[in-house]
Amino acid sequence: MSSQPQNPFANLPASGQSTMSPPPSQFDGGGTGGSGRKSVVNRFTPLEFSGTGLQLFGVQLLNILLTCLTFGIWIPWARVRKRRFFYNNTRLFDDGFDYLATGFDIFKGWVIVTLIAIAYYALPVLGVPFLMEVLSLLLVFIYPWAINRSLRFNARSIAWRDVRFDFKGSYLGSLWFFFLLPILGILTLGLLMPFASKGMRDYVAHNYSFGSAAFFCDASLGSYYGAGLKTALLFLILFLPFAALVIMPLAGPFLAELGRGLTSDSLIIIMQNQGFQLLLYALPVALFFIFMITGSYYRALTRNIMLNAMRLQGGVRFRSNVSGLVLAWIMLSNLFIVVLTLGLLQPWTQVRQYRYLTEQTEVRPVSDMKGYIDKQLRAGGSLGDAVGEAGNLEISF
Amino acid sequence: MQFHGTLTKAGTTIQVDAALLVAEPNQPASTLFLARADNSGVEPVSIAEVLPMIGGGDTRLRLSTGDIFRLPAGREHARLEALYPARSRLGATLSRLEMVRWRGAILLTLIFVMLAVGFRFAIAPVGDILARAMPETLVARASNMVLAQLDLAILSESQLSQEEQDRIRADFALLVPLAPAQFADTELHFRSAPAIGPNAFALPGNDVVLLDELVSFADDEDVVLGVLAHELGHVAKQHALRQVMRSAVIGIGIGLFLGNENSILEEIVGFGGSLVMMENSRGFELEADSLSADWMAAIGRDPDALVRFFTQLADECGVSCNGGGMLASHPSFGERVTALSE
Repeated sequence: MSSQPQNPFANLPASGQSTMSPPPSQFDGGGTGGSGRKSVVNRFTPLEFSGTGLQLFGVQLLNILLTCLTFGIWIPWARVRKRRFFYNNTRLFDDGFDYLATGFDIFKGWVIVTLIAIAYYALPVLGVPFLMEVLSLLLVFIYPWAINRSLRFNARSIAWRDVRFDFKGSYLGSLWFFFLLPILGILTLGLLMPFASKGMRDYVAHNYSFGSAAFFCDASLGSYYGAGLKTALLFLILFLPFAALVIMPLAGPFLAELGRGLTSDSLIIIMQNQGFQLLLYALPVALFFIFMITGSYYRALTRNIMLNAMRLQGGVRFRSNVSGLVLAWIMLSNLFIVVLTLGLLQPWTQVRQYRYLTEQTEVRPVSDMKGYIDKQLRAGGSLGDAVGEAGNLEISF
Repeated sequence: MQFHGTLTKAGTTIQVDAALLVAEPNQPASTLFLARADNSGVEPVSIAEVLPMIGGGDTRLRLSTGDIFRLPAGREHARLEALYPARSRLGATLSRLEMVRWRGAILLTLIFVMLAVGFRFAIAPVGDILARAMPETLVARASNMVLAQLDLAILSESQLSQEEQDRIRADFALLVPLAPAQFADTELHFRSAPAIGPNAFALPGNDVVLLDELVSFADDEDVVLGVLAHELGHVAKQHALRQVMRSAVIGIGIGLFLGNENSILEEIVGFGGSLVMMENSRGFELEADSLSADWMAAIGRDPDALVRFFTQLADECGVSCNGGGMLASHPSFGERVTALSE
């Protein structure tokens, strides 16, 4: 015994009585949830974010320098370090998440994707006809597969304590929910968009798991349509003043032309109108900002709906209090900050947005969160998963 | 020395407070012991795997027992780091480098700005070197593909009579020997494209395309030939190929600087890149203009043909299509006429 140090916990009043033979380690002592920490059971506790903009700045700039020095080979490692910064500093009940994938895992996927890309662009020049067309067609069919693999790769790379997440999507599921349904939503001028959002978010939640515990999500379709309606209203509120200011003055000349009877010259007269020239420049800019605001707003509302309706097996509930207008403001002002500082403050803007989303997310377990077990053998997943990941198809959960 | 943190049982969420002990009283040198709050003893362990902290996050140590020890950031861990497996040291060093303070941030910014400025001035020379390194057969093939795609998309067959085509070709043949020998096989293609208007252009390989609209717009044969001499100037100076290579360099550079980002930043830098490209392009146009004037004079034709062409274009089209400015690929007619008369 003389060559062993003393257990510092043995002197603490809480557990220091036993001077007899020590009990075997069972992980059942009063360590956590005991003295220092407050109980998290049956109450909503927000996630915390402990990273700062300056820290991300260091991570990002070192990444850029290393990427330049290695002629791009560092990019997969850079990506891992950036993700690790965000996950590691996201804390649930004081414990940060871990991103376990290594740069080399992603690098292997990149090599394959790069080879395919080189073949895609180079072979037609070298005189192999139709290859580009065949490959393009192939890529469309690979897309759902790649999304699945990418989601799985990232899920399996994220761990909380020592339990990893997992994602099990099907090819047809991803094809329908990530590809066909959103297209349908756009083709119906947004009428089916809430339906598509519900489908996509339910699909992700249903196929996600934490260790061996499954997630569930049962938000009503009505709530998604409510979000869609609110977003449409916001769009009108933002668009109508613009229309009144810029488009209405055009109506006069246009109606005058109409009264004169439309000829081939009418179009030219209208197009030479100064108001029309202004509209030509102002409309895309205005629509960009309006879509950015309404897009963030809609994203925030549907995120709230999804998380509020989500459950994790074992009685864990979630709550998201993201305000659509606050999120829109953060994204809009971040855009200006990045542009005005030529990107120098970008790390701060990223932390700001991420921190807001994180801190508005709350988790409520019914027990002490000790009952989860990991069922996988290794992190990251197969080479195929890494290829999917390298295809740069990221969908944030 | 005690490093306090939490111990998570392998593959679970079960956790207990714990400490790693290094160089405590009674402890042999360079050994590591684990003390747990649920057990009054200590056990010798080693560190199997390290995920160093990043930013202000925790360090994640996989112990020889398989369990995870999480070490909070914010303390000096040098004594513990000495016990990390060798392959984890690099990561720990990187993490330390990343933890910049304001002074470090300013230094990094300076290095970054220097890199960016250096890159800005490397675009043209590196692009030109790449252009020279491209095998001619590959360029010719790419050039043919571009023409084939243009034919599909916007160009149609020329309506010029065979005699007229032969006459223009004969004129053009007078110019070609003036260019360096490697461009002796420069080919003249006749096409029509009402949507484009009076124009002609050079492709990355030794190809010049002349549109019918230019022939019918031009007042005399010298104007057509002057424009063709301008395009031959592009071919002889490999302007198109160099532009393609320079834009590839810009693309690669943006990938290196921002490859890790999917943000508006890429658009901003991309816009900066296109400004550089446009500046290059305007320089190329002036170079081709002056070559045209020289060559026209050399074969005894009117060296001012281009000047007349630009004046006519400016007159008929009005101010709106004068062009020029930072965003234009061609200088304004005024600038080009001024440059030519100097």
